Amino acid sequence: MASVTYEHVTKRFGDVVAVNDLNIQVADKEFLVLVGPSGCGKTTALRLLAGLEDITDGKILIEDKVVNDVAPKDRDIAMVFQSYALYPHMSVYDNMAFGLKLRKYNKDEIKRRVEQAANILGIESLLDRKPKQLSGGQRQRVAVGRAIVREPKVFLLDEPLSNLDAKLRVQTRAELTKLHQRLQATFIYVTHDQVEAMTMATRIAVVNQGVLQQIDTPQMLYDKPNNLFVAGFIGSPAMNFFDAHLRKDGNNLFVDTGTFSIKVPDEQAKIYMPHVNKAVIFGIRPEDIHDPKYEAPGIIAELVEGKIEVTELMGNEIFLYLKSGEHNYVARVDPRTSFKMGDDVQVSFNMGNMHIFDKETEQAIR
Amino acid sequence: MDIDQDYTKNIQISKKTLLIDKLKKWARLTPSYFILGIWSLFTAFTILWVTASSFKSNRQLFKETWKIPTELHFENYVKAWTTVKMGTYFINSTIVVLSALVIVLFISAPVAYILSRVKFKGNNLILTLFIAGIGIPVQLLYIPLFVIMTDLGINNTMFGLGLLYVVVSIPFTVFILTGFFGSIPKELEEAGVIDGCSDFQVYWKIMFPLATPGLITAAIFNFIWLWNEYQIALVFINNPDLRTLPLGLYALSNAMQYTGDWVGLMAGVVIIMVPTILLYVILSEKMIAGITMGSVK
Repeated sequence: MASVTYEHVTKRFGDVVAVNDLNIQVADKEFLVLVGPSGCGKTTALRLLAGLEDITDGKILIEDKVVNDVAPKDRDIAMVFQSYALYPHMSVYDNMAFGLKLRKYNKDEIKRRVEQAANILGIESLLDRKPKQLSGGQRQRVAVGRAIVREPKVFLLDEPLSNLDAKLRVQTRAELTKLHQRLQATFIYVTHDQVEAMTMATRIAVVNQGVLQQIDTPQMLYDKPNNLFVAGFIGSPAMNFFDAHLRKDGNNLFVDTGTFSIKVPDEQAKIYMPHVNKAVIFGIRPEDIHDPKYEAPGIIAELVEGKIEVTELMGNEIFLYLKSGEHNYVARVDPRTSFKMGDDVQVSFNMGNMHIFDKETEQAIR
Repeated sequence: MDIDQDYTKNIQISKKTLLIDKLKKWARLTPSYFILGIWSLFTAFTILWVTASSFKSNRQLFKETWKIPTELHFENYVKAWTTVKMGTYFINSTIVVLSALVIVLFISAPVAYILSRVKFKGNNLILTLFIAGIGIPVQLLYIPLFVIMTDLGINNTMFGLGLLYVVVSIPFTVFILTGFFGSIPKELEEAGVIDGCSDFQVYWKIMFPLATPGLITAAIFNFIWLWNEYQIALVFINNPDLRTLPLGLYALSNAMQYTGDWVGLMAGVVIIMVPTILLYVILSEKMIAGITMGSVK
């Protein structure tokens, strides 16, 4: 098992910079998820580590050893591809055994390892089949099996769940987490789905346009996003943003959006005071906007008036699409709420969880 | 009431448009089906008639030209095979064509693989040269080739003929195989690299087996044209013992002017036809079967 380090790694394709000065340290046995929108460079970052692309600048280390010029097969990694990439002319057994055969393991050892992996993944009965005789979920398991028989230092997974249907995806997510615990190996996982990232990762690296935005535990990313991009990317529905400025009135600080003005709790006011009268972006998550009747006790609530344009019942909660003046935003409220479509209502903002971003730099103000 | 009328009217209109669409489709397809139908009938008829005639006696052939043979005269085949030496020609053809075929595929497949997969300067130029090679009539090259072959001392040998067959088949074979290799997903190569394949192993253990449908297609096309190839063999083979089947058949039909043995000629034609048909029957399904299905989703 091993640690992985990206040191100032840059990858250019002609004029396009796919990965820009990436610095990441992945600890041994960590489950790191690289997440970002399509085309943000996360898959390229993974392929650089796999050795499928050459690094333009910088260094990648696996366990203190620079691997820039090491062939993929000598990096002791295994990869699960988005498309699974199973060899169609080989049986499931041969697909899984292929890497071991090439490395000249003896037959008994190969058989033992393949059977063990098949056992873990529940595909013992499929070993004689060809990939085209398998369902999508079974193929995905075989692809994972092909990686685990090798017992590599690092597992690379490139959007392995994106071809599965929604139900199977949720199930496989939990299985991958279990597998990680069982194997005690370093996992690097690429996805564009922030739910996958939040649920599986020990740490998440958010990448946008080839640049690392923030790397932290899921909880920290969620609670304290470094910038506007991370704040908007993590969480669903996304955080609400309002163009605003900070106004001082006596000893109190207010967020003024033009339509409504709300008091900033004293504790935060101290932090934001130096930015008075500056243009900022005020952010608040949908779950921090409540129906006042059902708001959690002990929160610092401020009331805002708005009109409900659409409601969406999700069963365990209701999404309210609200409009206050120019501003559209979403609230995620208790399902017992009596709010109806078209109502003019007052909702309460939990200002203890408010976020303020510099409008110019888009960085969080803390 | 109004609504009902509208409804029926709408249905009538949609039925009408459906009918028009169908007619249009027929109008478009009928000429091609007609031509293909006539062609198939003609081909099937010729094959059947030649085969039937090859089992008749000469007398029966002229008396009952369109009838099914009443007794089977296998001696026509024996005569064609031994007396007119079709047997020797058959063996010559088999040796030259099969060895040329194997060599063509083993040379063209790696070339096509590299051209379709590896990006390097001049890649397109090389592929274009191969494609241009398809367009050059081999007749233009007879004189220089003859000189070279004579200098090398391989003129009028089976080895020389085989070599020529290899050379003239490569451009076309590379061309179709490039398409096949290009259609195999790149992830399979990458998976192979990560699993520990060397470049050669990626080709030999993954790409080559996956290109099987392409290789079979190329094999069938090349077999058909080499098996029936007449001109090159005529120019470069003088020794009667080294003749291939098409040359033999020509000799047979020439001899016909003096012997009048039409049924023997028919037997010769059937002998030359059977391998092509057999090959097609055995391999055409493989040609169509896409074995890459199910590898990636």
